Amino acid sequence: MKRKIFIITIITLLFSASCEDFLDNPPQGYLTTASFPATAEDAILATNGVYNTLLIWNFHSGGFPILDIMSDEASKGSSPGDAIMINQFDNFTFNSSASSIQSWWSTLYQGIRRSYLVTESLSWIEMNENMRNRLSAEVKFLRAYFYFTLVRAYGDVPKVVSTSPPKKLPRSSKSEIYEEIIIPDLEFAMEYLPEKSEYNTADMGRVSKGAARGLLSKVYLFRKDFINAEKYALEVINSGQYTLDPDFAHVFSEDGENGTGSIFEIGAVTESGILYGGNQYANTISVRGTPNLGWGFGRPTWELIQFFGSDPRMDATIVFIGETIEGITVTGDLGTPDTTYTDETKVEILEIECYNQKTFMPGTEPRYSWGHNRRILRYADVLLIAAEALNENDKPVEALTYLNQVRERARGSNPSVLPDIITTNKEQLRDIILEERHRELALEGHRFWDLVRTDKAEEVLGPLGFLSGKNELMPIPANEIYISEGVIIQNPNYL
Amino acid sequence: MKLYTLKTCLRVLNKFDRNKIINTIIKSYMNILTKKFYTVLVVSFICFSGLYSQEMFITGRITATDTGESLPRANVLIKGTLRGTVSEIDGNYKIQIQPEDKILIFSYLGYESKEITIGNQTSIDVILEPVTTGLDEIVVIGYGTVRKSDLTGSVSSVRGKDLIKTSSSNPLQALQGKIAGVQIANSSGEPGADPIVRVRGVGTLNNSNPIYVVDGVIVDNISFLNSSDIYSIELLKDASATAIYGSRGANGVFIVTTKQGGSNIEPQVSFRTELSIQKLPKKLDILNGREFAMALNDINPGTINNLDAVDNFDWQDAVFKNNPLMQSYDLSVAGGSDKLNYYFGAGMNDQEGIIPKSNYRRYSIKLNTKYKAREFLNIGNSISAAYTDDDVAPNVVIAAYRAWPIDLPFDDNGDFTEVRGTGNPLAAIDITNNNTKTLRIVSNFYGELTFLKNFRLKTSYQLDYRNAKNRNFAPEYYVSATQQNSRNSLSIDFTEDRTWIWENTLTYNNEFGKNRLNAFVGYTMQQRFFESPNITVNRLIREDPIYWYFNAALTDTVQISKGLGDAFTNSMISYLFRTNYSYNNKYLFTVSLRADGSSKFNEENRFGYFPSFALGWNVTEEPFFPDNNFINNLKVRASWGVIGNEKIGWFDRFSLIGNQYGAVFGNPEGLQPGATYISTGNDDIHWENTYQTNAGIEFSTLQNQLIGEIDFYRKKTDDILVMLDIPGFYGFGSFQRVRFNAASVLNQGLEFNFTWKQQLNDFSYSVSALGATIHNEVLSIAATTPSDSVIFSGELSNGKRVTVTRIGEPIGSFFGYKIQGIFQNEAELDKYPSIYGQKVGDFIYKDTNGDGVITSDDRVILGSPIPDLIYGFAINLSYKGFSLGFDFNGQLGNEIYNGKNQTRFGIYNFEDRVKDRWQGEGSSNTEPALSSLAGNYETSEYFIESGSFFRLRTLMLSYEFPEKMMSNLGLKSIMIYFKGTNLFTLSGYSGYSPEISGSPLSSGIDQGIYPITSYYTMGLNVSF
Repeated sequence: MKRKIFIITIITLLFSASCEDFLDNPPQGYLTTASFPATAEDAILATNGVYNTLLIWNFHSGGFPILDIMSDEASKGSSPGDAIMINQFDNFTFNSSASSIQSWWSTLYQGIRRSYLVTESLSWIEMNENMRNRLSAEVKFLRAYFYFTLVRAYGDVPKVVSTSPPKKLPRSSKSEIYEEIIIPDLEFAMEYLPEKSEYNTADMGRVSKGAARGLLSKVYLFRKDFINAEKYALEVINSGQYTLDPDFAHVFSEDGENGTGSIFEIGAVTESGILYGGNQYANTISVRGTPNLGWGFGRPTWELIQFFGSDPRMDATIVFIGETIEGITVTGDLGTPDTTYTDETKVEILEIECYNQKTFMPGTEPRYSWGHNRRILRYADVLLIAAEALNENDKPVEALTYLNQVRERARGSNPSVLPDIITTNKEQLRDIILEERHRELALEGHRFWDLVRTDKAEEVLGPLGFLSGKNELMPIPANEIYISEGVIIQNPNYL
Repeated sequence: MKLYTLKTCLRVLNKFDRNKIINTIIKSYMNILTKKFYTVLVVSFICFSGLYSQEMFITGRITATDTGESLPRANVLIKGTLRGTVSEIDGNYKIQIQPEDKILIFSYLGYESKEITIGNQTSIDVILEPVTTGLDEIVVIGYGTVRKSDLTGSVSSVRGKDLIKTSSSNPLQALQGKIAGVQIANSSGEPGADPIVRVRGVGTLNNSNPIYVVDGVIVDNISFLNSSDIYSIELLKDASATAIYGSRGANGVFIVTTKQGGSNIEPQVSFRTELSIQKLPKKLDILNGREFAMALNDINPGTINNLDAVDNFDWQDAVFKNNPLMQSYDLSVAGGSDKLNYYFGAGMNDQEGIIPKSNYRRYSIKLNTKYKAREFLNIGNSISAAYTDDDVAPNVVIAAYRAWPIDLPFDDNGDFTEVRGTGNPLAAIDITNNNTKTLRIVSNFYGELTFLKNFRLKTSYQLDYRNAKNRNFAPEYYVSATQQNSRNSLSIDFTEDRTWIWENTLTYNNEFGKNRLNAFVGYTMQQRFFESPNITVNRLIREDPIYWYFNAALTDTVQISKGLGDAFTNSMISYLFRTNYSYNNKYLFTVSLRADGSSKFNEENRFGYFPSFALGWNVTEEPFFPDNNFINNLKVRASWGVIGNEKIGWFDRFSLIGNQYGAVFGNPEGLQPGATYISTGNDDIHWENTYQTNAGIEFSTLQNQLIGEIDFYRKKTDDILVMLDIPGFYGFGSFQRVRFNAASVLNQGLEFNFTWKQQLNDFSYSVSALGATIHNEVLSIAATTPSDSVIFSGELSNGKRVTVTRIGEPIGSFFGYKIQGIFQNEAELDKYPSIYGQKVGDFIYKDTNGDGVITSDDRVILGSPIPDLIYGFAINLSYKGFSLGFDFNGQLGNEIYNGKNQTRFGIYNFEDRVKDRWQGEGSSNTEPALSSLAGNYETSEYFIESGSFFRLRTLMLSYEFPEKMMSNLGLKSIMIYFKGTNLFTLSGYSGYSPEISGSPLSSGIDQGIYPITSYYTMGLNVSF
């Protein structure tokens, strides 16, 4: 009997051992959305997390410099057989299933979602009021920038206004996105962000009042609202925060990062990997082969070289084979022909092996180019926006002041080139300003949209395959259309 | 039986009740072929026992290898006589012998008979091994054993002695071609690499690896085990057998039983050593220097002016070692007393890789003990420990494939030179210093209480512990612009992974009348903890290993980064139940149910229930079955059940925030920490369910010389957890996916296994053949989720995805363009649609949808990585001490995607098929010109090759010295053997080996695998 009780006790014990929460294992080493952000410190972390979007490879037009490639400034680049699917952006044969189209879209929305993670909790986190407003303003600036990129690239887009959008969301009109998100967000940012000079050294590179004004002027310019474009561009100019660096080449050098003319740029450190603060943007573009800085995509076109002519800025814009930059001799890639001709007669040059020098970092290993700070908004750009808007607003004399500031700096020590422009003819000046942008901002991702917004795209890019009424916009990614089951409609003339 | 012995016997019997005994004997001799044979011997023996009372005795004990327990009523017979005895209940026997008696024969139903020379011994302990094809063979199933004749499920067994036929450090490799329905692919020849194992097709889009149960402990692989320590491996295939493992059984369960000691036996010591030489079975056919120079001239005319002046360097010869060695040494001691029995094994395996710096060493220890504490209480343990020291190979296979054969590795000073392609492969080897040291301990401690005669209560505590340290050092070096490192670094990763399981089972076992009943219930708790902190130090001021631990942080040239890596805890609670019932040995019935609760799912979806039912019918036991000797045994069985798969990440239901999302600010610039979303979880996920139906037939015929087994299986997995694309505007990031229960896959096929065995005097032979067909088909994807119903995967390193998983096709089918020919002239270039940049001499991709342009919509299914048939067959011959065995295996009907040929970022060496390239109109319609690299490297059928192969997996010749000679030496046995592994392979595939596997969605893609080697082995076994 005793033994029976003993055995029954044992069995009961063995088969009943369990604790209520044995199967509850929360993640270790991670927070979940249920517990973050909760403190003022969290809010800063989450804000930095929004900036982190700018380091994601796909943020940069889906990884490859397709905006430059779609313009007349660059071709696919790299060696002939590498990533040939990028050629479809050079000749406008891409369709909605191109992976860059999808990844660019998704990454922009990723930044938008990250921004709402901050703003949704800022309202109740206990923290210093000034800090709350600054963080909110930083995040709203970035969100506006993401949306501005979306509407320029894709036109009407789904309007996501929280971290958990509805499962199905149709596209909202561009003007709704501008008027309800981009403009109010930038206005908020303008009000609450400090000026560039007001940041302490450790925070250099965070978005500033000047950045918000400058971006807003660019937004209005793109919308052909020249009155507002002029207004905000002049606010930047008159803020006294920025001057043109006298040396054009220095603007893009390592030493020129966050320089006097820098309004908004993406900070990066010389480490291969976003985890360590590196940015692969320049690595994708920079010299292939020797020095081994990158993959060499977005090769400056022969036309661009011709167009520069004697403009001294060419030397700081394009890396030629054989050139020595900051002590590093460029011999380039063995798998890329030095010269490619249009046909077997080898008379007409199609392209030569050369690279984008604006992303060049002195070094011999890929990780150096990961440290390049991509310049998003430069003072020269704002000066040219001001010039363009003033000209459109029939203030050609003022326009010339700003245009000639840019040319003067470009001229450097060579007085025989780039004479001051004196014409006040509106049409002529319009073309001259556009050409000035072409040279000053070459290979920085502006040209394609400059051509689109000035309705010059068909004229300039038509021979490359650009179709008017279609290629002004990217297609909506195929997956978005497919998954939406008809709620999201494709852009005109795309399959 | 010799006639004179019979006469003698009869004379002696005069003294007794003569008629009765004679009748018995005659009757028994009539039945000499039946099972009653031994009973007769016993009876015969009894009649002799009184006659030789003054003679000497031999005593000993008979035990079984499989259970380690003593065998009662086992027969002992003196060879050439009718004299014998049977063992007592504890396995002990005592037999009287005559001076002229030389040999004792020990036998037991269901076990192989054993002959032992008496010599001068007075005590002989014997361990009998079960007959591998016998019906009363004991088969290990989940949480228990069952007689083969009572088995209702589909279970295959492989014995330990078959495991040592293959030269390999991993016991799984020996199972290739040995079990119907399992595919074991050696995807890498790197020493210590685990093969990829698929049981009955690919049942899920997630982790499709089976589980392994080593002496009761559930583990994820068995690379820590030494083949010599394994007694048997059984594979549970159908739901009836695997459902008892519930959520972990869906991909098959391997039950590994290690060797045990025996009660009251003298220590038996065995020693085995092997020495192998490895060879590269084939080299890739790639261009030599001159051919490559000609190719260069095709690409860029005039590159090489003098073809006769180019160098020719064979990079494959340079990176692969000649005759790397593999050696192994095993020692084991098995024995036991009344109360304690033990098995102790120690092993050492040392394999050089065919690529330098990829050596592998394993030191293993195995200790199994069992102690009978009381009449009703057993306690015991099973401990395996292995320490591996693994040099991780530099990835030079692809480098040797790509390197330009016109470049030499060294300059005149002996320094590395620039090698075009992907850098200097020899330099790549030189700079590699990557090593992983792992300690793994798998143990099981248990206590077993027997009460009320039929009940057995067992509790066991199991621990699977793995501790690994990887140390990787990259020195500072400069070979060329594209092969350099200006900053040395040392990184050390630690991993601790431990799982404990507490398992309690209660078993009831009874026979009453014609009924045999076995029932058990169980309760288990399990928890796994994993962490992997790591540290990286840059800019070490000295590169010599002795200074690696110099406290570098104190100098300003050093950068240190630390990460806490990953950590997680998972737990599971399970309830188990199973009943086996058989009536009159004829009708068999099994029902089982397991409930698993896992922390990977939320509270509502936490528990999954996995039932199974099975029926069996031993037709030959029926009275109506003709009692002829043609069909000796016939059984039909059928089963149905549900099994699960929970091999998904612990985090899939959580939306996680990570803190590695910083941004760079400041002057000087620095990374400021940031945190945001890492991944998006789906809290609604629940268990995947696999519904498996199995119908089988087992038979033996022609006096049990031919035995066979045929099974039909149908395995349908529903609610497969699959990562699906979600709309980009959700903001989860590009190519981020979320896990949903949203796919369904079918696997069905036929498995067969036939063995023919015949004994002709001293010569015996056997021939066996087995195989399985697989029909794999995706039935649905994303029917109810906001996602695309097609999954593209199989990403090459250039980002191209070459597989598709979609409804109606096998999982991970190859997907790309068809080729219709080559543009022979400008007219054709104008006539057919082309892709951008294509020229004359390039492929004409087929416009399959006929819309006049080549787009991604023209891609079609090009093949499947899943074979239609996997087969193996074996021939074994033995004559006296000699035996010779051949094992073949192969597969049919799958394709391989030659990804390494497609992935070209620049100009690399070419495969020699380009020698037939297009060089002008009409010169080729299948091999494109080399002039345009752009147009011919789309994903297309050009890169598809046949994956069918036929291989002589092992050939083994052994000789066992005669026992007489051994007993004079005081030894039990000596065997020497020679064997070859992977001696030849018939395959149409151009790569090193046709065994290319991978994860379910990206399988069969060759991106440059570590070659599988051939082994030429010499071995010696000694036991005493």
